[in-house]
Amino acid sequence: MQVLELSSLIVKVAFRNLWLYRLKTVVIASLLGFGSFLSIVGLTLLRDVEATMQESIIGSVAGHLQMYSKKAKDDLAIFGSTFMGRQDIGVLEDISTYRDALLRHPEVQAVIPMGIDMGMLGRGNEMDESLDVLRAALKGGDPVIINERVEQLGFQIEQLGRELAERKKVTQDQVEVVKEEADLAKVKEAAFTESVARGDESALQYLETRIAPLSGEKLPIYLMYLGTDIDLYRQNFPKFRVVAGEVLPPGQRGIMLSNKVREDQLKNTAARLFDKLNKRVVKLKIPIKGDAENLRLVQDLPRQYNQIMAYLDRAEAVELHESLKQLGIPATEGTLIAQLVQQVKDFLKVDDQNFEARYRWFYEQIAPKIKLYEISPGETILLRSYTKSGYIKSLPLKVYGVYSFQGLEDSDIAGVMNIIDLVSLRELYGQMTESSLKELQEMRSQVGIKEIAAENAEDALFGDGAAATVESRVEAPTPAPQATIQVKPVIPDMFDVTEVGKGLALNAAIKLKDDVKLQDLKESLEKDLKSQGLDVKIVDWQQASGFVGQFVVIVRLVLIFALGVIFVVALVIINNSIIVGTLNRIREIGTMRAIGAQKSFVVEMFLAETAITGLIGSCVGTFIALGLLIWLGDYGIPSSHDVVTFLFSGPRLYPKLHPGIILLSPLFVTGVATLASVYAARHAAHVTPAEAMQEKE
Amino acid sequence: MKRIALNLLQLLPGLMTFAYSSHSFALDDKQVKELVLLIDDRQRNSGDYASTVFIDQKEKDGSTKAFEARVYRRDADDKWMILFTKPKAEAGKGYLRVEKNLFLYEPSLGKWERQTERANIAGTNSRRDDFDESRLAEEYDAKFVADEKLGKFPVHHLKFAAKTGIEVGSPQLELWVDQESKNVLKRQEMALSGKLLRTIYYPGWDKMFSKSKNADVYVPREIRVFDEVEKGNGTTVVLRDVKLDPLDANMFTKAWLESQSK
Repeated sequence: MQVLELSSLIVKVAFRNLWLYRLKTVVIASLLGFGSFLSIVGLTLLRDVEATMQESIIGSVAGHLQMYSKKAKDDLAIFGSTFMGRQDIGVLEDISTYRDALLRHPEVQAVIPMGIDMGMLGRGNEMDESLDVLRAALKGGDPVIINERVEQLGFQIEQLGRELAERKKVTQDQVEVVKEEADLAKVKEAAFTESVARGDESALQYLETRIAPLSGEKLPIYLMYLGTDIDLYRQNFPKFRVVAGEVLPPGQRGIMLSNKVREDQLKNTAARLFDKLNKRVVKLKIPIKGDAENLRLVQDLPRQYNQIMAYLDRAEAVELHESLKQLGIPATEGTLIAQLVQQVKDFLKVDDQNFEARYRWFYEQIAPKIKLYEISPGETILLRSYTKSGYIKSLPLKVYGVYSFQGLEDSDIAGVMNIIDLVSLRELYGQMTESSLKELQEMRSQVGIKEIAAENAEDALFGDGAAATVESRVEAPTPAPQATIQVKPVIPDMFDVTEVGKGLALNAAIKLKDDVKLQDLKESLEKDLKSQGLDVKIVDWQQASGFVGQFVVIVRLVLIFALGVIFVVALVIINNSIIVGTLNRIREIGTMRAIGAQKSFVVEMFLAETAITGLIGSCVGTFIALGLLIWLGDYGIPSSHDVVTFLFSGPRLYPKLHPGIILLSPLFVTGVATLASVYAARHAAHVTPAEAMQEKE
Repeated sequence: MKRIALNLLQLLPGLMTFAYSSHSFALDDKQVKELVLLIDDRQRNSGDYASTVFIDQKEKDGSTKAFEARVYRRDADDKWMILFTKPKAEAGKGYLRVEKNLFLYEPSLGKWERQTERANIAGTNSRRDDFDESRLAEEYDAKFVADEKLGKFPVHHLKFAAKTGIEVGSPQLELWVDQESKNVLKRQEMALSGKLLRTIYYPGWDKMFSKSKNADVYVPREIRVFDEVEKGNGTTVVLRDVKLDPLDANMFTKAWLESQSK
């Protein structure tokens, strides 16, 4: 009873003092309120981002856990590490051994074999493409098609002539231009055109070696690819969606392009700029005028006129010329090409007033006449990649479809990977099959090469046992016609579907049945595999995702640092205010002590003051944070950047309320503040009645 | 493929014979210069050239790769061609160089790809220029090191440093030249820092008469390349069926290369 009365008295005195020193109370309460607000909002967003990022990473590529060889020289970083260059994560020699061992664990749902690497697509310019098409027509032998192709080529040569004339006006290398003009003049002659139409090899070679390079060079396209068991992948990564074409069928060699890669790297540049502007101007409602990025895109657009011109034949050019006139874009004087170039350039000059109409017109009238994408489903590409030994290996792969990850359509990080079958990945990686090894042995035995080690090469090659002379005369053999190679490369389109379930993989995703404690599980899986002689590293999705996963760690550290700074500032102010308050309140404390108040009473009184201030401030901070989070939960936080889209697992983050964070944050803030004021309170309790009396005097 | 390109550099040049008296004493600067000019001159073959090459690559990690290819060269028109014949997966692939253009043929697609002048051969560090004939005298300053013995063969040991302002593949190199035949038996390539990069042995040479040159031409029978940076990596190149007679006038065309894999 006495305790209750005493507590009640302490609280009453504390409230009285807080009111008496209300300015100080407001300052401390505000600081602690801000601390509570920040910790609730910060921790809530951090937890939500972790959850959405987990959804993005687990649902797209990584799975819950990733497994790779213990012999790896680098850490696995699925979305790339901070260091450039190819990762060396070793190999899992036979994935079936690892899979069987892992599937014995009841928590493991699936083991998806994988391998990530970078490939390259070489590409010629538009003239190279036209010449390829012409050669195909010549092989076909249809005179109508051949004439069409020759006519198309003639139109391109005319365009080249115009470009060359423009270049002549500005270039310093006049000698080179004159030489190129002479080359062009030759191919414009009627006799030359006739020889091209006849399929004369020297005329074609002249076009390919002298004329095609005048159209400029296109840089190769680099494609990152993920080789996997496509069936298993689809079953376990629910975000995977086909947006064009079809799914890569099991047992077929092929590639599925990422929609993001196709839109950003393989689309016609003029169309790509129109799309970017459309997204910013129409969807995000950022006016062109006054926005630096929009203005840059607008300036760049007319420079892409050749991205339209290069794909037109004469009939299409005439049609476009007339359509543009009807649109109100007049033609100036000159040849058809000169007029159309000017019209197209004028068409591509957009502003806030005409953008939406021009964008629609482009897709209605121009896009059907040009090649909108460099690669489309149904085509076969030649993907080239370095093998592990540094050779270049190339493989023809049919493009079956285009895919994206649901909710991550705009994310560059999620959209960086194209998907190929695992058998093709193994070949591009340079894995030798039994039959290829056998073929190699046969080749070696035919040539009869003796194996020599570097250490004793000199002795073996030039020592006493070596040939008596390093030189011999060989009479030049009678020239004999070389036999034609009758063998075409043996690259079957199909493979046995069981092949993907066994054999080499670089890494593997482990999908779990339920959310379990990943840390405990990965250690137990690693240990279990090791006991079976399978030495691997198992990392969680966050670690496996490379620099993306580290992003949350950095955000967390920044948040903790910010909260720490606020706490330190608040605690210093609290302590100072109590100590200063003590000096101001010596008479009061002395009087209390003189009428029988114990030191503990004084200490408790000061602690109660801080606790009450903390509670009031924290509650206010908590209510503001709650209001903000509820509002954000309805409207969402828009993603401003691609990385953020990936972290949000979509274009907006809708924060959720976490009762634990909401209840514990204010209590934690109040508790820390109260504990931190113990020293100052004890200091105040040391005031004696004598000191108080001296103060009076 | 990377090593293929690198090693083709060593095998393409044909070396010419030259009457040169044998000495077994230190060479003065003039003699060194003459010897280097001789080595360069031996590589010049104004006529056509054809051979079959076998390239065998072994890596320290046990991985292995081998190719067989036919190489054709026509210096007069600045053209050359490589046609891979083995293994089956590579058969029919080829490179055709005409003037400044390098075309790559992929027979499984029946497609050609024109690579830029600056492009590396097969995406390696080798450039088109690397396939040109050796220009040791033009590109390097040479000096005599010592008369030594390489196994049982007495050799002249020469050291080369790239001349200022000239871009070369190896800033420094050393050659061990057989005193008797004047054939290069050993070559070491170093980085600018002096770090040894590769050791190459030429254990055998064939001497053939070239009608177009009206002189003998030397061609290496076998080349052994040992990587000194990645110890344990090595490549062996074997040349067969070397022909110096004129090749068909229409050989260096896309149509001809395509026709070889039908």
